[in-house]
Amino acid sequence: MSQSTHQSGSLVSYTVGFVLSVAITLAAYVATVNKIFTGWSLVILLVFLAVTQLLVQLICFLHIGREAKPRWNLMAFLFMALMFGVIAIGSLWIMHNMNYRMVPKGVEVNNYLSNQDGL
Amino acid sequence: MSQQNEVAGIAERAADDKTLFGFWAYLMTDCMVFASLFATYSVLHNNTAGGPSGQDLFSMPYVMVETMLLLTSSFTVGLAILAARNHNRNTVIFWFALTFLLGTAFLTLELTEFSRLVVEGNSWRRSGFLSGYFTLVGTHGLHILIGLIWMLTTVPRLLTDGFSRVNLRRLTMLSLFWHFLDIVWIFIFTIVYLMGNIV
Amino acid sequence: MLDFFAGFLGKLTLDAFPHNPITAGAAVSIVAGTLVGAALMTRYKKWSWLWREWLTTQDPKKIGVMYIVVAMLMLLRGLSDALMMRAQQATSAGSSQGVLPTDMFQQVFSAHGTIMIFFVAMGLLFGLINLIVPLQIGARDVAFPFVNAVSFWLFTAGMVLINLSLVVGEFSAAGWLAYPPLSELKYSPGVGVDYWIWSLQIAGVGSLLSGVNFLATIIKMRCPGMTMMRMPLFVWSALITMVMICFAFPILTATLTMLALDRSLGMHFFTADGGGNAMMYVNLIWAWGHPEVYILVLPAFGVFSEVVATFSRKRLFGYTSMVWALASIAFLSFIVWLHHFFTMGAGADVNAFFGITTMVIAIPTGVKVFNWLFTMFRGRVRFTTPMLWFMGFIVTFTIGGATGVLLAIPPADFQLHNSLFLVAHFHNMIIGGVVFGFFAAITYWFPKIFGFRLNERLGRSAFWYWLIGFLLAFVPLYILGLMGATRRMNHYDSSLGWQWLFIVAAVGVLVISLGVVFQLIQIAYSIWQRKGSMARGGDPWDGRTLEWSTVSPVPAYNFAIIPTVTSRDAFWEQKQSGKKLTAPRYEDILMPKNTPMAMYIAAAALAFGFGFIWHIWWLVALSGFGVVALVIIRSNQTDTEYVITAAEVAEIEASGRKAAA
Repeated sequence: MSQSTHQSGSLVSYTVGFVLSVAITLAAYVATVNKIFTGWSLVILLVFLAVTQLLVQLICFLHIGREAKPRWNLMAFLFMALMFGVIAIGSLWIMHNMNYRMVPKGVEVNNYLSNQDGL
Repeated sequence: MSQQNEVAGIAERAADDKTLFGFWAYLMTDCMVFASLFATYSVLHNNTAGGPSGQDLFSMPYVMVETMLLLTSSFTVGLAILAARNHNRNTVIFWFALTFLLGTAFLTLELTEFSRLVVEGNSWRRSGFLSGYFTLVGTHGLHILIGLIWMLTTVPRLLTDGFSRVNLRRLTMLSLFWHFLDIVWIFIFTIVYLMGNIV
Repeated sequence: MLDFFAGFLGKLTLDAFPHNPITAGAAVSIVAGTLVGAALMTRYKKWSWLWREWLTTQDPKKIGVMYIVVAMLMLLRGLSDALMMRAQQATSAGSSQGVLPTDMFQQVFSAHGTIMIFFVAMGLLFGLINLIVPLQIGARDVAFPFVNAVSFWLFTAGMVLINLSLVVGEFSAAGWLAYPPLSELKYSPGVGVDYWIWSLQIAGVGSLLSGVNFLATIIKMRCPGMTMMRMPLFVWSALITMVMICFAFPILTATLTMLALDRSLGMHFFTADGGGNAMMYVNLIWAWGHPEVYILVLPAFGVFSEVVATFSRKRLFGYTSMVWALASIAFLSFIVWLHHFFTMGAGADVNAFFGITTMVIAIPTGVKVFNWLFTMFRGRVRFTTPMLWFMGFIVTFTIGGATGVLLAIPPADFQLHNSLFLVAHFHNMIIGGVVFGFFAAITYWFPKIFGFRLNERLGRSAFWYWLIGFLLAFVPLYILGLMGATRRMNHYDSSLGWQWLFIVAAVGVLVISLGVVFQLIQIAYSIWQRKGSMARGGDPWDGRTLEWSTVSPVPAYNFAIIPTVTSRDAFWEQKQSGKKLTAPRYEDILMPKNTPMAMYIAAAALAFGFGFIWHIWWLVALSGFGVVALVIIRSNQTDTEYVITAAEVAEIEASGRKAAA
């Protein structure tokens, strides 16, 4: 095989990755279903756990970062992650902003808006 | 003679290298498709048009079983590739067969869930939220189906052509694809199902 | 009995064929033109040549030529649309209703934009990249030759679909971007928007595959010694453009899919009811759309870097800053997209952020303009046709860029959004930037690919008609926009005093058409007179980069021996030092075999799209299955390469160099 990413896999890395992923998934599940956390703190925890499992699987299953230099696969992934963030977060920011300003709400809120924002 | 073999070896490694990089680049573009679908789902997830929301519809234990099936299949496909590197034909086929079964089980559970929703009137036509849900999860499911078909058309070639360069390369790409699908599922599990449970 | 047939062909009935004279005329000419072409092919017994040399080829140079031919054909159609629009707006004032029925006018402006962006500009772009990138990096081929062929044929399938809409059915009347709710089933119940969706979806997959293909090619197949910072600027621009395609086009794929799902499966992504959010479509389509326009222009910048250096007989000024400018423009282009909908509901904070990023993007662009000018400074400049196109670009693109910075200011945009000022701005960028760049490229690289030069005098005439025509066509539009004229109007009040400006604009498009006529004459005349303008030696312009080191026309394998480079402008360095880049021993070369599979896959995709549009579900199932089956069959084919022996290589090289002498 060539000098690409998968060359560096081993039974240890796959097993560690699997066990960690199961643990993280269970943690996220239990935290949600048993309402150990709620609201925004749960959201933050879930994001943290998801990103952690992402890293575990990237490193243990996809062997990212272990290729020889120049690390084209890693660069491609990082750039994709950046673009993913820009599109997802950008869209959410824009749409939230628009929804707040444009979507009809109750009478009180509309009165407040027209007083405050000069709508 | 050996210099010719060396040149051929270099050419083959270069072919592997560029093909695997090209496939990785394609996976990055697929991530962007999912980015658009995730963004749309997030924007629309409260647009239930007077109908049910995620909380009303999703069964958490059911989703947990699906998640474990897929996660295990990502592990077994990794074991298959390890065996492939050792040119251990029967072990490779065993682990891929297991991956195939786990993947099929996952897809069956998912399609069952979809059918149930449709039958009770909560299809993709019901609301923006459900359109987003069916499309995001359904696109992932479609990728799983493609992966399963890919397994059926590639793994049997080990029986006819053995561990040729091309076969090894294709199995590697297939495993990358399968791992990528489990990674996307992490986010579907978290954002659609777990966060769907948050009031 | 009739019911059975009605089901068999979905929504397709005899009603679908055109009714009004203009559409019928266009449909008849397309069909007649195709039939005449087929008749000529039969008469001169050229079918096997066409099949062997062009339709089944895997050679990116041939594929590049085909892309450009298709793009030029579509330019003629897009130009006809432009002429019709100008005719309508020049005559439709006051009591006159102009020359086009309203519904037709809407289809014309929708088709015009769609064709020009997706089939002319993208076609020219991929054509050039196919032709030139492998040569400039010292490679024999692209990374995935079969996928490359599939990309071209998918592009062609999209082209066929959009032309089919003229013959059977109708086209979209929702603009080149088909905003919902207008593009949803409720307000566009016909097949027009579906033609638009599938034409773009199929061509878009082709573009995405090319993005991956050329990315892998440039990263992995550069010749020995060619580090990233020794690549020609055109290759850098191609590389960065491919990265942009990889990250932007999937957004288009996803968004078109969601609109198609709304229309075909009753989903509620962007509908006005059922919890849909039409603005999400606008958001996503521009998240693709803005990078798209930079995808179009960056290769043009790359072309100019090559042209200016060659015709100033001087090294490009500021190579490193040029590379960084390209990269910055590419990154920034992904964080400006809201400026296309400043007026559509976002708050001042969001508008301010995107307004600032939009203005910032002008800075690296300015760096490039100055670097090109500094390259010319103290160079020995030759004003050949490619250089004229560059001079035209500098003037027009700079003006257009300035109007862009103006539009980037949200309060100003509130006045000018969707006015003719905007229309003038983006035509300024696309014609002055993209089109002029690609015309410069065609005149510059034509002798490399075909072995003879294009007639200079006719080329210059074409340029001047284009430049003057462009100014006549679009300066009035800037003025009209500032006076309050909206885009896409099919009628206006005569008391506004606008009509004379529209008439000037119409004259401008006629002058541009004259320019196109001169370009067509130039090609025909140059082919006729080619014996007198041969360039077999391969270096008619005294070029600087590797492509000029081969004989012309370029053999299938590009380089008999893969060169090893030690600097930028490798060929120039070789000429100056007298040292050869390659050892003189030829070897056997392995090349991909011709195959019709790429064409078949695209044909199946075309059938799939057509079936979906007309709700012919058995066709959708059959062709969908067909695409999958063909891909599996192809992946199992093993006899896909052939050998060019060292002796054959020696013969080809010798005959080329002899003809050059």
